[in-house]
Amino acid sequence: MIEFDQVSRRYASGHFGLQNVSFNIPKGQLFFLTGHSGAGKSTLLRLIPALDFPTSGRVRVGGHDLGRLKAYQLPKLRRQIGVVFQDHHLLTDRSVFDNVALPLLVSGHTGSQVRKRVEAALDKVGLINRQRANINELSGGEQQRVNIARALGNRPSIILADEPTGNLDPDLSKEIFRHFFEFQAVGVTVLIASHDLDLIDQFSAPRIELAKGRLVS
Amino acid sequence: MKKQTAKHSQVPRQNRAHLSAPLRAWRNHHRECFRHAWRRLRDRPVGAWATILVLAVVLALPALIISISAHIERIGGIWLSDTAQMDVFVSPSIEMAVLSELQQSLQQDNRVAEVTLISPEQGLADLAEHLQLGQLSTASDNPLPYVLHLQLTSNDIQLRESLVADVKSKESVTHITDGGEWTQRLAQLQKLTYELGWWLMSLLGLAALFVVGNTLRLELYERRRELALISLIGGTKSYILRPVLYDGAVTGFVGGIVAAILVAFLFRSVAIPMQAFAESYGTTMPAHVDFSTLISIVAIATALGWLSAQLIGRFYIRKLARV
Repeated sequence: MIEFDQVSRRYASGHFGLQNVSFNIPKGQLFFLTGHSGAGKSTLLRLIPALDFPTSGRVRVGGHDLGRLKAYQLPKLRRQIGVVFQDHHLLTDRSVFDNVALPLLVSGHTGSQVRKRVEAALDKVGLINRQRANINELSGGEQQRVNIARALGNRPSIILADEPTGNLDPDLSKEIFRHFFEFQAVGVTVLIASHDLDLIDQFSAPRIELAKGRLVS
Repeated sequence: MKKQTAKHSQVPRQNRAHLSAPLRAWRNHHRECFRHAWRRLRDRPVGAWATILVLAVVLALPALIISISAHIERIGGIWLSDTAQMDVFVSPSIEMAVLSELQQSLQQDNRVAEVTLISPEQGLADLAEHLQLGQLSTASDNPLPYVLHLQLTSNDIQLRESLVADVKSKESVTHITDGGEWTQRLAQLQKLTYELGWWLMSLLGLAALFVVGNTLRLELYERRRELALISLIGGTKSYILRPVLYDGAVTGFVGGIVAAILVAFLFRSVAIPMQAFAESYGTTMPAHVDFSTLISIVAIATALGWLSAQLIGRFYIRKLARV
């Protein structure tokens, strides 16, 4: 489903974000992406939805070689990928409902479809009763759950999560990780980037470990 | 058999529903962008209306000049259509046989509908009547020549010019009055104002592009997080650009309406001197701007707003792609 083949990403400064990284995540699997800060986790995650491109090597997602995708094909690819951002990227002037609805509206769903899917996604993360609340009224944990619900709305085949439990307490972090395992159980491919090894150790899943842009294990 | 028919008839219905969902969403997005563009005028009154007023003023000036130019053209046109005629003055020493031959040749000319011979005596009587002198007498012989008054078949300028050239070439003809000189001057004045108007429209239109573009740029900057997010979750360029285009077009449309009102108002304020000018040429002109001109102003302003949004929106999306 996600395949990296000798992928390197070198920046203009000469620094390597990634160097000769190769791995393969099969469809419907959950992987952890670990490494210290600056190891290249975010660089790797940006390459999957083609927000950035490798300087060498090949990235394949869902059978598509991203280097060969035309610009007009990128939106379609990105709609298949749900991204849970580290800093939420929520629109603070909108309600919970509007934030979760955004990817659905972008991908051309009608009003009734949007309502159904938003409600289902919010129900999944336990925020169905807060759909009319403004984002600013939510706690950090609730905002992160909205972030997850937004990634779910489009029923993506891949979910990428970048430090999804960043500033959350351990109990809430575990709950959020459990959500990801639930998505994997229904066939979604999940890649979670986290540096919280204590938390990761509590779950059983394969790991991709990076250090200074290189694959360690 | 009945079941089969029912089954078959269901398939296309499902397909239709499947196909029409994205179309419905597309239409809904257009509708939402259209509504948002109008709501923006209410929610951001200072920014939006300042741009609209600048746009209106910038377009009103050249539009007014072009309208006045059109009316000047009309004055010339009305005069020509009212006076599809000319007077041919012949030499005072002309022999009657030659005069008769000239009159006959003009009568046979297909550019001339009717030829009337005005004798020197009749000319003197007409002059006396025009000067309100009752009776005009001269110390010596009547100095006026015979005049052939021609009624033309058409007021076409080229036809008129060719006829003047032909008649002037005749030896016995000394002078022709056809209003050609002043209509030419009027045409030159009209051409000058028309070109000035369009040059101003082009330059100020360019300024309008920047004014609308700058307002939209600021709004895009405020929405940069949302636009980056939309791009990231699979929004197409058209999806991102659509609300900007509606904002630009609606700003242009409203600016055009305000410009049209300004032009109509300004035109009324210059109507009195314009009518006096028209009357000096023996014609009249309407004291209002044509509806089609007002519609054109609105259309041009809408197009400018839309174009401005296209340019700034595409520039911004390119920048977004590099983030």
